Amino acid sequence: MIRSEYVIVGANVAAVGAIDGIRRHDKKSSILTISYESLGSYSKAMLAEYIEGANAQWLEYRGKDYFKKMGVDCLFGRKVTGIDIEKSMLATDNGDEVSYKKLLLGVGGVPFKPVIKGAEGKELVFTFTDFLDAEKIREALKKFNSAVVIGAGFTGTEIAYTLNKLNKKVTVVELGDRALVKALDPKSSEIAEKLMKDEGIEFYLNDTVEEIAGNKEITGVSLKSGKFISCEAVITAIGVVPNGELMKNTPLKFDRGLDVDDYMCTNVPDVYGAGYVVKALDISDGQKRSLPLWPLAFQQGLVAGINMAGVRYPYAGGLPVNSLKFLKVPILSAGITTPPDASYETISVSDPKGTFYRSLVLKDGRLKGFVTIGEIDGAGVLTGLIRSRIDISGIKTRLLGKKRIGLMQMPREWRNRIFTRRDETDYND
Amino acid sequence: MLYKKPQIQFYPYIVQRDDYKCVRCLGCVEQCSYDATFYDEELDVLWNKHEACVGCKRCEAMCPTDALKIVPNPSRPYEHASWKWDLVMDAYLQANTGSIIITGIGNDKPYRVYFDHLLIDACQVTNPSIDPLREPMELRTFLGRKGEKIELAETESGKIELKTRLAPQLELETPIMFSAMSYGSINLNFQESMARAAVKLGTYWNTGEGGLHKKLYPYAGRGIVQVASGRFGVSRDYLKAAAAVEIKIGQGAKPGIGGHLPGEKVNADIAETRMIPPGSDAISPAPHHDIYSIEDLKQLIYAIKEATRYEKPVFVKIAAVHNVAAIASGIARAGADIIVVDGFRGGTGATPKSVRDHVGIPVEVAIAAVDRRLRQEGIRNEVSIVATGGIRSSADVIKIIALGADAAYIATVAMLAIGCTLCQTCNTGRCAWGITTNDPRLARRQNPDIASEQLYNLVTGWSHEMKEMLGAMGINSIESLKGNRLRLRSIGLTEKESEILGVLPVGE
Amino acid sequence: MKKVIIVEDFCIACYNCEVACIAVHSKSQDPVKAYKREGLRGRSNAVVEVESPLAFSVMCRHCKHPWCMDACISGAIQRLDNGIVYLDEERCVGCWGCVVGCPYGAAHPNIAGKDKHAFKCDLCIERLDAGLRPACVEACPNNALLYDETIEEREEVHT
Repeated sequence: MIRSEYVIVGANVAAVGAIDGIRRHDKKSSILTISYESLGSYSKAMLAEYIEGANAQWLEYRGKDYFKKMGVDCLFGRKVTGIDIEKSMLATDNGDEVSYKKLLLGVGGVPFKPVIKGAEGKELVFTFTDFLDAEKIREALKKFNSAVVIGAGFTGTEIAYTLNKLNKKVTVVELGDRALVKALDPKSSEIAEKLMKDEGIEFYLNDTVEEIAGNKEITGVSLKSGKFISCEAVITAIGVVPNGELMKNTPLKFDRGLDVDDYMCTNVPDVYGAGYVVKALDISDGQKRSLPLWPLAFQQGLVAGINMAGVRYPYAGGLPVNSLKFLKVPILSAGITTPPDASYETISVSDPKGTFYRSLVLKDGRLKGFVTIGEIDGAGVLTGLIRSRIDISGIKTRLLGKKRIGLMQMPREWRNRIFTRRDETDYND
Repeated sequence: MLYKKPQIQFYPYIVQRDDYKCVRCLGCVEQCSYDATFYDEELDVLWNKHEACVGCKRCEAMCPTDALKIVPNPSRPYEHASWKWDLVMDAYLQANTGSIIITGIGNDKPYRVYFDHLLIDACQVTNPSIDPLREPMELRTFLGRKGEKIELAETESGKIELKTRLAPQLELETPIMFSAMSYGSINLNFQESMARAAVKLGTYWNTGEGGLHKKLYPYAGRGIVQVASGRFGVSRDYLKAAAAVEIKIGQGAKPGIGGHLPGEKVNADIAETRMIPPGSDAISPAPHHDIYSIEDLKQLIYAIKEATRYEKPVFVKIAAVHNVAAIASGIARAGADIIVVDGFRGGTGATPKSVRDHVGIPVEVAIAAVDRRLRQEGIRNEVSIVATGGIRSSADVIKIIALGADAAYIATVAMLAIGCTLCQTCNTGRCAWGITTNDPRLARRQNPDIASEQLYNLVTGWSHEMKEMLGAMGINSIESLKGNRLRLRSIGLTEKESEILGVLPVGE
Repeated sequence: MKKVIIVEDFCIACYNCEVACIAVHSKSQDPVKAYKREGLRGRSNAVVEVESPLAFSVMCRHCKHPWCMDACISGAIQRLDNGIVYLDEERCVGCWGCVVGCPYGAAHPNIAGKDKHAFKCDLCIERLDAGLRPACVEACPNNALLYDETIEEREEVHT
C-alpha cells in the first residue's frame, strides 16, 4: 500500500501545473504522480521533431530533476487501472494500491480511433498522439516511402509536413472541406493548404478512408469518393477525446469530458481534474468544453493544485490559442476565428503573395478572435485584447497593418499601469 | 539646387556621416527637428538635407555609435575682412524675403569682452589668503533697499532689538539667480527645472514675461514675477504668490523694442498663463504704454508696492544703454529696491538680428558707471544692483561684483547647462534640445529631474569656485568685494576704458 | 524583485535603448560589430514605439505570473528566484506560444535564419550579477527608463 497526501494521475503539463500550485502553499506534504509514460512531462507539439531525429531527453519539459526538486515521488511506466472512490484508493496495473487524500486526474485524452476496414493486423498503421506513437513511427521510418494521413487538423498537418520533410510522399485525407477547421478561417486554411501543397503534399478534402488495402503490407487506401491512393503507411490523426476510462464505474460525472466546478473540483470532493480531460470554461463564447491546449492545461493544473492545497482560487476560464510553427510562414490564431453568425464582424487584410494575412473577428466592437499569418510579432497584444474585452472599434483598422502590433493604440491609463505597476498579470484566466 | 534660390547652396553646415559606424538605428531621423535627416527604407540609406541643418548638433550628441559630425561647410568663398560671411548671407536672405531677420540667443559679434580684460588680485605674504575649506566663507547676499542707518533699542528684559523697520529683502545663499525666460519662449519643463534648482540652492528664479503657470505656484515662494510691457499673466494671485516683482522696461538683447511671440506658438496652455486668447500674437510693446516718464514709473512701482502691501521688493530691469547711469539714478529715486542692468550680450528667444548685434553697451561698463554714479550721489545704499547679459563663469560673477553689482542673473549659461549649443534658432520653436520650444514632441526632451540637477550642479560649482577666488583675495564675505575695484586690474585696455571702469591697469 | 519602470512622458525616441540592448547581448559587445557583422539588427529586446509626440520603449515586464511561461512547451521560459523571467534560446523550439501569449507583445519571434526561436528581455541578468543596471536603463539619456530594485513581491491575490 502506497500512501500519499496528494496523488496525481498523469505526469504531463497539467500535473506540473498542479505540482507548482500545491507547492506554493504546501511545501511538506507528499505528492505522488503516476503515469504510464516513462518520459515525465513533455509537449506533444515537439514530437514531430523527435521523429525527425531529436533525442528523447530534449523533449522533457522541466528536466529530470524537477520532480525530485519539488519533493514529488514518481511512478512512471505504471498504468492506473481503477479508482475506488469510497476508499480513496487507486489500483495500478502491477497490483499496487495507492491511497490518497486529494486526487487529481490529469489523464488527458486518447486518440479517436475509428474502425477502418483492413486496419487490423497491419504493422504500419499508426496514431500520432503520444511519445510511444512517435517512437513507433520513428523506428518504422525506413520501412515506408509514402504515407496517407487521415485528418487535417493540427496533428495531421504536422505529421504530414514532417514526413514530407523526411522525403516521404504524403497525401492527406480530410472529412471536412478544409484543413485546420478548428483554428483557422476559410481564407487562412486556404493559405495553409497552399503552403503545404507547395511542398508536395496532396490533399483530398470532403473525403474519408473506407478501407486499407493489402495483406500484411499496405498497398494503399480506398476513399469514399472511390479514389484509390497507393501508399505504404497510414497515420490516423482524426483527433483525441478526453480519456474517461478511469471514470467508468465511479460516481464521477463524465460526459465527453470530466465535469468540474470553478475550482477544478469534480462532483466528488477531494477529486480534481485538469487538462484536456476536463470540460472547462472557454471564454471566447462562455461555453464549457475540453480544449487540448498546453497553456490552458498548465493553468488548470495550477488552479487545481492551489485548491487542493486548501486555498480557494477560482479558474477564470481559458482562451483557445493556437500556433502553427512548422510551415514556412508562421500562423497564429486565438479565440473565435470563423464567425458563427451574422452578429459578428470580420475585417481582414492579405497580400497577393499569400505570405501575409490577418483577420479580426469582432462582436459589439470587441475582439473575439484573430488569425495572423506571416507578421506575428506582437500577436500577443491581440490575445490580450480578446481577454480584456476593450472596445476596439476606434482602432481596429490600425491592427491590420504589417508592422509589429504594439501598445501605442492601447488607452494611456492601461499603459501607465503596465509600465509603472509593481506587479503584473494574475492567473485569473 | 533644384527649385531653390541659388544662394541656398551656401549653407553653413554639413552633416558628415561615418557610414561604417552608422547602424541605421534611425535615432538621428527622429531627433532632428529641422527636417534635415531622412531614411530611405528601400535603399537602407540615411541621407541629409544639409541646407536645412542649423548646426544644433542634437543628432551628433545622441548618435549611439559616434557616426555623425556636424561641421562648418568648408566651401566658403573669399575670406573678406569687412564682408564677413554672415553679412553676405544676411544680404542674400533679405533679398529673398524682404523681412526683418529674426534670431535668438545674444550678440555674437566680436566686440570687446571686458571680462576678458580684467584680472583678479590674490594675497601673498603681506595680507594672507583664506583657506575656504577651513574658514567659513560667506556668499550670502541680501537684495533690497538698505537704509541710511539702523537704530537699536533695548527692551525691558535687557535684550537689544532692531528699531528701524527694514525694507523687504531677498535672501540669497549665493549671489547668482536664474534670469527671466518667459513661458512661451521656453517650455514648462525648463521653467520647472530652474524653479526646483533655485529652491534647492536657496536662490531665486524669474518667470519672465509669460506669466506664472499654475503648475509652478508651489515654487513661487522663490520666484520673481515679471510685469513687462504686455502685462501678460499679471493678476492678484500672480503678485501675491511671488517673492518679488520685476518691472521690465527693457532687456539687453533688444534694447528699446518690445517682444513678439507669434500666434502659432501660443497654444492653449500658454494662452491661459498669459491671459490672452489662444492663437493670438503675444506682443509686448516697446514702451510700457503707461510709462512715459520717470514719474510714471514711480507711480507703477508704488502701485505694485501698495498691491503687495510693501512686503515684497520691486525690481526694475533696464537694458544697458548710453545713459544707463542717469537712468539708474532716476529709477533709484523712483522707489525701486533693486535695479537690474542687462548688457548687450544678453540672450532672447526672438529678436531682430540688427538690434541684437548693434544696440546696447557691455554690462561691465554699465555696472561700473551705475555703481560710481549712485555712490557719487550718495544713494548707492538705496538700491541693490543685479548684473546680467553674458555672465559666463564664476570669474565673471566675481568681476562684476567687484565692479559694483550685488548679484548676477544667469540665463544663457543655464541653457548651456541643459544642452543648448547656441545654434541661434530659438525663434523657430523647433529647438531640438527641447529648450526654447513648446512642441510636445520636443519639450519632453528636457526632463526636469535631470535638468534641475544640472542647473544645481552649475551654480554649486560656481559658488565653490567663487569661494576659492575670494579666499585667494583674502576676503571671507562677498559683501567685502562689492564695488571693490582695487581688487581688479585691467589688461589690454586703453587708459580711458580703465578709467571708466574705475580699474587700475596691471602693474599699477 | 527588480523592474524596469517605463516613464512614457520622457521618451524622446532616440533608440539608444535598442542599440545598447543589442550591443550587450552580442558576442563582440560592440554596437557596430553587433549590427553589421553579427547580423543582430532588429534583435533588440526593447522595442521603441513612436507616434509623434508620443513615444516609449517596451520590454518584458517580468510578470509574477508570466503568460509566456504557461505557453512555453519546451520549458525554455522559467521564472528564476530573483524574479527574472528568463528565456533560454537554446531550449526554445520556436513554437511562438510566448509570442501569441504575451499581452504586451514582449516576446519576439526570430523567424529569419535557420534557427527559429523567440527572444525577449532577460533584464540583463549578466550585468545584474556584476552589479550593473540593465543596459537600456543605462543608455537612456532622458530617464525614460528607470531601474527599481526595491519593489516588493505582491501578496498572492487570494490570500
